[in-house]
Amino acid sequence: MHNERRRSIILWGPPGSGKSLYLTSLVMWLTREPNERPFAVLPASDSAARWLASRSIPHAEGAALVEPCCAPTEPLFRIYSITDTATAAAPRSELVAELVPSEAAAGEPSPTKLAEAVGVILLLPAASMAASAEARDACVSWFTTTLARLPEQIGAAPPAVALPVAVCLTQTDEAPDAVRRDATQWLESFGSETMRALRAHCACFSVFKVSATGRAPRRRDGVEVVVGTPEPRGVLAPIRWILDEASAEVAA
Amino acid sequence: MIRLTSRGARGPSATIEEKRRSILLWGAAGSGKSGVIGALRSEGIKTVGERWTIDLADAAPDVVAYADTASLALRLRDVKETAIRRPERAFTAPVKRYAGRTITAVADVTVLDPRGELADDPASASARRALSAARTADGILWVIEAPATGVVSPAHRFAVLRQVIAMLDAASMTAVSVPVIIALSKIDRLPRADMQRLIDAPEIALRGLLGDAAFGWLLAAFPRLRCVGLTSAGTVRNVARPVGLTAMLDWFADEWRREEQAADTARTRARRSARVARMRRRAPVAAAIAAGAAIVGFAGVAAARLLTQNTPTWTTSAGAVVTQASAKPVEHSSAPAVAAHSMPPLSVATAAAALEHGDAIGALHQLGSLRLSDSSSQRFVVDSLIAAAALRGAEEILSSPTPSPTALQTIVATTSVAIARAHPGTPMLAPLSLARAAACIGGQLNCPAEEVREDLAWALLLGNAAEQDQARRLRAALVGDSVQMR
Repeated sequence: MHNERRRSIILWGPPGSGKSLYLTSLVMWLTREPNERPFAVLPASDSAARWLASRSIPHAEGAALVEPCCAPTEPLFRIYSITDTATAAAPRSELVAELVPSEAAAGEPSPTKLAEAVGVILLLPAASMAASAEARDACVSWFTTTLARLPEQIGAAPPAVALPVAVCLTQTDEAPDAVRRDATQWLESFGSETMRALRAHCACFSVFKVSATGRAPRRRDGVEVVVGTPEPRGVLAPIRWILDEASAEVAA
Repeated sequence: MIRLTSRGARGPSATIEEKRRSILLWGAAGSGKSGVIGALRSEGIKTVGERWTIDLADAAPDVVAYADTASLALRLRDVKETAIRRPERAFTAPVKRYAGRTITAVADVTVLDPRGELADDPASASARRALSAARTADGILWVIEAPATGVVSPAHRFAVLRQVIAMLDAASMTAVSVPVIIALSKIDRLPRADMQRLIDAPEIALRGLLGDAAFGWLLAAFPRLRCVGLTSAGTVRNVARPVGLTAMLDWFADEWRREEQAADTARTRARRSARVARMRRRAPVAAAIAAGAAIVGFAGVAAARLLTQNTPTWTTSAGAVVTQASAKPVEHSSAPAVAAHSMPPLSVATAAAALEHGDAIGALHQLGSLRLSDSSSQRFVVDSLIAAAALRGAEEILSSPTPSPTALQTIVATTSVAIARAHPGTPMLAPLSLARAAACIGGQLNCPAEEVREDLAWALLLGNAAEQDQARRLRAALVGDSVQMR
């Protein structure tokens, strides 16, 4: 392994926010987006791969979603930039960052991990928050608390968190008008304190809509089934944004 | 390693020793690894054409049995079921490339898992031990059976993912930097059109079989990935006529050759860069003194300046008054000036002649060995010759690709003696100091920093316009260079 410190992106979210499904979509179901830089995501360990593989099983109609079992300790995923063009001199892939999910089993990201990260992805389950006031309050509370924990630049005036923060609304396939909705307004619809907290803490943030499966699961014999092949939407957008922000900062 | 050998009709000729390369052959059970070995064995009976064959001369009996039964199975496919005797353990055998009867390349093939058992649980300890060989391999040939259904099942895709992760983990890498071929095997069993599609555009076909995500894993893990469609048996019944085998192994050889050429080019560039860097450091110095040497000219210019002074006395910078016998005026000419009548003509003349003929260092040696009184009039001529020779010599040496430190030291030593005996404040100090500073700075001789700065100061103070200009350039070169001064 190279000993140089690699860029890491923290993946964070409250329970039920869709972290494992988001990771599964990145590893197992990613499709090429036209005119976008392609990426590939590889688990760094066999246990991480088996954890994600257990998230879905083949079903007659598509893919059946299985409740996630316990995550491996310190799961790690690697993000590679890839190219379809084969040339004699240039390699066709490059490791660009590591994706570090925060899981309850593994504990919250340590201050060291946060300080070393080039970006943070915060997941919020849009469908769950829309369906339940209790869930909404819990997620908003988690969100504002988490923003306050992000490392601040010493001596900087608020907003003092320079780290790029990508807020991802997951489960967006549940909303029929998801494509038309503005992500920032959607987040604000769960309470103005979300955007207030973002603006108060974060100098660099963006809100994204993501769908790990591309379509809302259907209930089949007590099992959530994604009919057909899962087609994730927007799952790479926060990663691309964070990498671009990190590169811009280095260039500056 | 690839060992290139040429064997002519008269027998073995000289062997060009090169690094011998190794290829790792990997694949799950039933993927087609045995077919590759059998095809390599079958190619061994040919005597014409370009082909790769396996050399079993020194192989263990179980390896020979494996290759023979695999070859037989290819020939008897669809006719008779032939049991292939697979060894239990990994083995390595050389493969040789032939053009007719001539061996043109040799490599080693290591079959990590002949029975394909490790691929079922690639994270196991035994699999990790075997896969750690990926760390030292020069190429990896991963055989995957082309599915008849046209799509790889999710379970099979996941198996591929686990094997990729295991390979990277066992080899402690985040990506495999050596050439890797994914060979879609047994394509002869597919419909003709599908087989042709796999031969013509194997990567597109593989991506279609695996899907974007799974293909992305392979690209991520293997930045030097190539896909091929392979049939070890071929399409002719009762014989083994592989399609894609020779091209596949040739690609490895081409990639290794390209690596070696790139490494040679990089080494050459590094050497050139180092030479250019050294030349660049010397160039400003050489340029700085070139004009100075021309202005100082050949011997006699400085002497002429002194000898044409109206007063026979001058005051030193320390205020003392020195009387000096006047000497005849010396004409400005390209020829070295001849000193006063009391000068031993032979030594100074030969030194002057040496300088005129371009041997500046030789002239310095001669001038430095002259034994003259410091107060003699000849001394000034000699010192002016020293100045001219030192400047000329420094320019020539610093302009050469390999400047001689010894010659530069000679310049420093000779000019130092002349500077030490020169009266402070005399114009003679300007060219002498200029020459010594040029040798020190351009040659990076670790001269005392104070001495170099004083030299430049005298040149700026006492020199004519050209000498002052050269001193400024040398000072700029001194400031801008990383020359270490004591």
